[in-house]
Amino acid sequence: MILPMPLLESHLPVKSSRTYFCIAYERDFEEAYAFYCARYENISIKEFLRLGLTEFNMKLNSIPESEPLFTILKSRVVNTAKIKDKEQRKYWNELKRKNRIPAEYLSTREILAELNSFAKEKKI
Amino acid sequence: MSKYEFIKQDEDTTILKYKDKSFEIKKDVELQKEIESVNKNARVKMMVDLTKQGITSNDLIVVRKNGSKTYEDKSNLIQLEQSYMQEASVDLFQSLSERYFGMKLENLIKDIGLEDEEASKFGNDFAYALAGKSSPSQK
Repeated sequence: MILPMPLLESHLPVKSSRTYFCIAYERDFEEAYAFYCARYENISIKEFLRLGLTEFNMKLNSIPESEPLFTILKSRVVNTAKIKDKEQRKYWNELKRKNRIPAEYLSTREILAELNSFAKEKKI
Repeated sequence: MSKYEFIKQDEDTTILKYKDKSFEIKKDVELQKEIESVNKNARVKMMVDLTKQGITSNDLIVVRKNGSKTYEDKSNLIQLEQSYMQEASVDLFQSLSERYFGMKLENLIKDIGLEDEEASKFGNDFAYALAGKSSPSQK
């Protein structure tokens, strides 16, 4: 039997695993759990793992700016080139670097694609 | 008529029904966490295997020089990594089958009574169910 894992990947809500990492990814897991307990209900980690993904994603939409997870997520998507204030830009660049998804979660192909787009962006 | 049926209950839950049995498949935080770890697990396994053979991933990269420019051909590395990722995906599928149905995939297929071609289609439908979507063949 041929297991259709590539199909599974291509039909997941988000094609690249990276985009989803901010929610259930091991690195963000503690912050995501803490956010859920603080804002919604105090549940065990086991119960949190059993939470429906769509339900959690919807709840994540109301994440307040004061949450550490919010800053982590924002640092991954913020375009620091558009920040005019030098200190602010430095601050967000540092956060971006610190909160970057570790390379071991990405395939070489994905890393190369990322490097390629970075090189294009920076016109290297 | 199909020997089994995947019935979507809500955004995160699908029920597999066959004969007089039914199993719940929930797309939960844990599932997503595991899917995301496939790449990492595959890479770690590949690194361990390469180390056992006394080589590193750099040994798989072919370096070519053209004048002052150096090119790195990583196709060997990518191909090997892909095979590990496929293997890790199969392992994940097996563990998910055990979690949701309490048995290995092969046993589940036997239990439903599927032939080879039907089994392949079942794998497809199961993948859709894990993604929380209805398979086109089930619509």
